[in-house]
Order: sequence, then C-alpha cells, then structure tokens
Amino acid sequence: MPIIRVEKVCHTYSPGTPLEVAALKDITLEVQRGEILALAGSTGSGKSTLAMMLNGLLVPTKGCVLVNGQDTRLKKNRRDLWRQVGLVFQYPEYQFFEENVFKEVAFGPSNMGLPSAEIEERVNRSLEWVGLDPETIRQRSPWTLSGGQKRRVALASVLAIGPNVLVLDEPTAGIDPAGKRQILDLIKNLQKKRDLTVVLITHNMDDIARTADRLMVLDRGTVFALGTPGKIFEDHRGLRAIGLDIPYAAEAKSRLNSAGIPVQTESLNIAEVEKEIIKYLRLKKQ
Amino acid sequence: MKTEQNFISFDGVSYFYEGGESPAINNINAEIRRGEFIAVLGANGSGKSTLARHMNALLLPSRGRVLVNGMDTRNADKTMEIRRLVGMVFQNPDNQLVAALVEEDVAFGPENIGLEPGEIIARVDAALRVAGLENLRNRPPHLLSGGQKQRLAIAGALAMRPDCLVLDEPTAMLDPGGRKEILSLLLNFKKERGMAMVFITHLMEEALLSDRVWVMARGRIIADGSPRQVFRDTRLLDNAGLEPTPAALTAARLKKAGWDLPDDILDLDELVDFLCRL
Repeated sequence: MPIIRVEKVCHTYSPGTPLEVAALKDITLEVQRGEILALAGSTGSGKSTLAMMLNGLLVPTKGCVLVNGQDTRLKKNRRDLWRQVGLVFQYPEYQFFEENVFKEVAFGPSNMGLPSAEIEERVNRSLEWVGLDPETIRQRSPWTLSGGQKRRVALASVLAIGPNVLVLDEPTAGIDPAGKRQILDLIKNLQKKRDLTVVLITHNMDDIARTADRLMVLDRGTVFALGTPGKIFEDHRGLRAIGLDIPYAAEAKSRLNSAGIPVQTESLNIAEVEKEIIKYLRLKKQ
Repeated sequence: MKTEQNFISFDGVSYFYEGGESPAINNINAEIRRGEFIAVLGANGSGKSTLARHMNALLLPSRGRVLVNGMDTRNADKTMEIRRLVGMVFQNPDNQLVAALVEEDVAFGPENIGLEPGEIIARVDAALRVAGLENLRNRPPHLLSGGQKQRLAIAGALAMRPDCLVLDEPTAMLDPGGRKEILSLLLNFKKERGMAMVFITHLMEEALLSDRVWVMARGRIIADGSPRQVFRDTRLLDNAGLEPTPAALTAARLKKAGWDLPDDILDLDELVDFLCRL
C-alpha cells in the first residue's frame, strides 16, 4: 500500500500575475512504503516544488496529495504531516542555530512537548542512526564539525521528530567523496533497518544508481519517466536532452558495447561491468 | 618568483579562525598567473574556502601576505580595487542576491562602481547571455529555482568584468547538463577576456579541464601540477581524502585482477581505447 499518493497535482506559482509559472503539471505518483524513490530532473523541473508538497509545506493548486490517507489540504492534518514526513532541505547546515549538537537535534522533539527523558533518548538514538557517537559529539558546536558531519547532524535533527518518510533534497551536494559514500550508506541503512521510506531528490545519477529502488524523472513540470533506474538509464539520448546524465556504469556499458566489447549485465553496479570486461579479456587471450 | 605574470601571490600565508587552535590554512606559498584556470580540490575542511576568501580580501592573513596585482590585501585603501579585480561566487546563491529583478541584480555591481548606463546595459546583457538567463531577466530572483539562482550569482560576478573569478563550488546545485554548459561558457568567457579562474570543486571531471590543479589537505597545498600529473598519483589523492576518476578506478581494479594497464587512464575514452588495442 502506498504511503504517499500524489494525484493529478498541478502547481502554479503567482497565478493570475505576469509572473505566473506552472511548476507542476498533472503529476501522479505513488510512493510505496519502505522504498527509496529517487526524483531527478534538471534545474527548474519541479522537483523541489513536489518535495514541499509531500508534507504539506505547499498545497497543490489542483489535485491532491494524500499521506497515509490524510489530505494535505486540510489544515487539521498539517501538524501530524510535519511529523510523519521529515524534509531535509538543500544545505540544511545553513539553518543551524543552536550552540551545541545536542540542542540542535533536540529542537524538534522539544517543540513537540515531549518529556526530557524521551527527548534525551530520541537525540541519542538519532545521532547513533546517522553514525555519530552521541557522547563525544553532543556538546560540540555544530560549526566545528566537518561538512559530512554537519550534514549528518542535520539529518539526525529531522530523524529525532520520528518521521516515517524522509524527503532529502540533494543530500550529498557539496560533500567530499568519503562523506558522500557515508551519507549514501546511511540512507540505505535507514531504509533497511529502520523501515523508513525515502524520497531522494538529486542530480547525481551515480547516487541514484547506488541507492534507488525506483526513479521518477521530471521535465519542466511533467513526468518524463517513472520506473526502475536500470530501465530509465537506458535512454541516454533522452536524458541528456533534458539536461541529465547517466551513471558511470551505464555510460561505461554503452561505450564498451559500441566499441565491440560485449557487456551483457543489466546491473548498474560497476563491479558487474568490470567482470564482463575481464571475461572479454580472457576470451581474447585464448 | 615574482614575475609580471603573477596576478595573485601568496607569501607564507596562514590563517587562524577565532578560537581555532590549528590554522585553517598553513604557510601557503603559491601564485596565480593572468588568464590561468586553476582547479582547487580537497576534502571538506581542508582549507579550500578559507584560501579562496583570501584572494579578494574577504579574509586577511594572520601571517604572511597576499598580493593582488601587486597590492597587499591588508591595505584597506586597496580593498575596493582588489574586489573589483577579483570576483567571487559562493556555493549558496541565496546569500548573494540583492535586487528585486534578475536584471537589476546583475546590474547592481556595475551601477555601484558608477559606470555609464550604456556600458551597464551591455555588461548585463552579456552576463545574462553567458549564464543562460536572458529569458528570465524580468523575474524576481526569489522565484527562481536553486540552479537558476546559482547562474544568477555567476552572472552578477561576470558583469563586473573581473580579471580573476573565484568560484567556490558554483555548480553543486546545477544539473549535469547545466554544469557542463556553465563551465564551457565560463571557459569561453575566460578565453575571450583573458580572465583567470579559480574553481573549487569536488568533481574530478571538472578539474580535468583546468590548466593546473591544487590539492589541499589539512590547510596546505600538497600538490600543484597539471591534472594529468596530479590525478595519476592515487596515493596523493587518497591522502587528501579524494577519489580517482571512476575510469581510473576501473583501470586500477583490472590491473589488480592481473591485466596489464597503464597508470594514466583517466576517462572512459582512454579506457575503452586501450582495451580495444589490447
């Protein structure tokens, strides 16, 4: 059963003015419980607009969004929606304002009026979930942390609210390769071990290849493709035409094939492509 | 060392943030020549942004000195001139936009330095064209998408016609197509106008296009050379918390599996070419 249903959603900014922009046009989407759904699209394709609709920060001008059956248009549902669907914005660390990590992560649960023991427990648990040691990090100023650590603290502060769905807007932008890998592994773990549903908004096709179960590609407010990443990434030309790219493994596969080195795997895992290369080299040697 | 060509030079520069125990950048000695394209790579916290902010006097050295076109950045009388010569674009565009309309935002800098209206219009048009924002010129910046805002920040900097443009991960929020497009437009602009460019990035494929790469780690420049020289040194990259290009990694793994591949494969073209010739 889908946890989020987006039904024939349209969204127009500044309607009826000369600045009118149709950001989303007739979008229908079901986010399944426990999946990692990636949302890709070039700049201005409507990804972030759609993301803000998933927890009622923005309400569609036409159509509706249902989260666990609750309509985001109804005001009485909003408070609950914010708790169920956690939104992590681009560069979330720019929004830090507390003096230490504990207070930063405790901000959400404190606002929910939880007893202090429960707050304590939630902060510790969320920090552990993002791979940070609560004891050593809780008193540190968020500003003294590395880029990757800051990003994980921001993630923990949303997890502390206890959402079922995490919406992540470019979670690895501006993070170095090692930090990037940690964050992607972490997202996978949250899905597998904590049963979270994840909507991952990104321009990074390799991040999608590495983590996503399904992929929706938006182009100027409409659905360009919806399906498994493996299938969608076969359309190199189409994706490039709308300003996207394909992951390294898919690119390698296609270049090798057209150079006469047969690579038969469907996988987007580069290790599988390399196995095929070795097979070819062995045959050639004989 | 101090030839005519050195546009910016760092002489033994260290910088300590308030309360910081170790320097964010440590004894930097380096030069940027006129018209040169330098890519700066390094893990988060390696000192890249601190280094960049010294190039137009946004930060002043705790030790050592920075000269821009011969002017010491610590000389407050020269700050305005230095900032006109060296433009800066940051990662987060929201902090850099000031006006109510896109074109006004781009015109803000040129107006502030008192240019003629005709000149302002010419510069704004050219900058909007380079950034691919011509058809959005009459929109309010807050209605732009994240990537469009980033393009706008770049246009604003270009309209000042700097001799050197310092970009701190300006493509982090752009889609792959936009990223390639902006970089090639910047390269054209650089070629036409002889503008130097310092480009901070995490993306090896962007750094491959530069004349010179600086690799930073723990506040120091630990490598300074052509992209080819620097990228084949996997131990150095590892030490800096960086990853070789994906094609180099594939080549390295094939090598480990017992196949004889050269060390200097950096992209897929080179990899496929070599495999075909085997």
